[in-house]
Amino acid sequence: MDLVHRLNEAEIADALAGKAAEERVADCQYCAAEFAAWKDLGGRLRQDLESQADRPAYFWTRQQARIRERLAPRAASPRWAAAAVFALILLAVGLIQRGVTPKMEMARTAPAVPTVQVEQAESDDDTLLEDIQASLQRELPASLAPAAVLVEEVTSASEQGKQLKEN
Amino acid sequence: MENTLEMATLGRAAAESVPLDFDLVVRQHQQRIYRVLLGLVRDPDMADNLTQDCLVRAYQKRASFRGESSVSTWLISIAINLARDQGRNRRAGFWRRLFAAPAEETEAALATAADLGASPERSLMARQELGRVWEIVDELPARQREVFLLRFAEELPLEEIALALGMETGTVKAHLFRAVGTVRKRMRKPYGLGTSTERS
Repeated sequence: MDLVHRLNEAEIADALAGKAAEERVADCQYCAAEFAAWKDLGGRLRQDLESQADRPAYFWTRQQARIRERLAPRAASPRWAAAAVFALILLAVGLIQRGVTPKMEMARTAPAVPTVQVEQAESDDDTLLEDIQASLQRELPASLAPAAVLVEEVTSASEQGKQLKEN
Repeated sequence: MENTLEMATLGRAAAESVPLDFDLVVRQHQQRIYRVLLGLVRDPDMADNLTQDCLVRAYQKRASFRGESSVSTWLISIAINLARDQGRNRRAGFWRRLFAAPAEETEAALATAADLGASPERSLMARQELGRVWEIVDELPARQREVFLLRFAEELPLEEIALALGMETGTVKAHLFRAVGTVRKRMRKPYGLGTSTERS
């Protein structure tokens, strides 16, 4: 009865890890065959994985480009843009308030303006208000007046044409 | 040391927080990282995305690289963490794709197998057996699979595997031992693995 030696898992792991299992392997033909089979399996797995991972050059170039793109500093996000706009608005409001307050203070503390200047300013204001009132009462803006005349002419011409047809 | 230049580059980048030529690191390691990830996740697209994630993360975390391991081992450890984080139930997709692979891919795979000097029938059988091994490896618990693949497919020494996985060398050996046991048990008769014989 010749008990054939057999590598146990620990010995296989040792052997695969590069540890010496030569004595055991040399002692037993079956062990040698099994160890060779494991080595073969390892080689084939490696070869198989390598062939699966073997990609064309453009694949790697594209991958490099994508990584580069992801590492590049990004443009400001919309959130940041919104925050910047909000900050600008706050700044503007602050500046306006700061501008108005001194004026009011100045008005309070400023010496009296000569009467003639005041009257002239009031008359200028009146003229401006009258102009505004006149332009509000006008149906069309002054710039569209020629167009309105043209429309009127076209309308009257078409009405005359209708009347002629009826007659 | 294999990566002295890279380590210096990464170290300088970490110290100065200035983007240096990280392209070099990418070019040198992307293929290996992709292969490791492909072995782990078994999905080419996912492996591609995770490779990008791995290298981007490496750049972002370059300050944490202390040079205790090689750059390669450090990158592999990042890749493994990413693969773990990634869904674990996507493996089935790979097998579907593998067996539904276009004819030319199958031919190429068979040609590779035929290089071993076998007949087409034997090549096909060998291919099927290899598929079976992958299936078994795929079903191993995560740690065992990682150790098994790093040892078999990447031929990393146990010490480097331990560094990459953040565990003791003895633990790595235990995982390898269990993985080998499982593969051996579950293989029916390929390569004569796992058959116990008593001759008279």
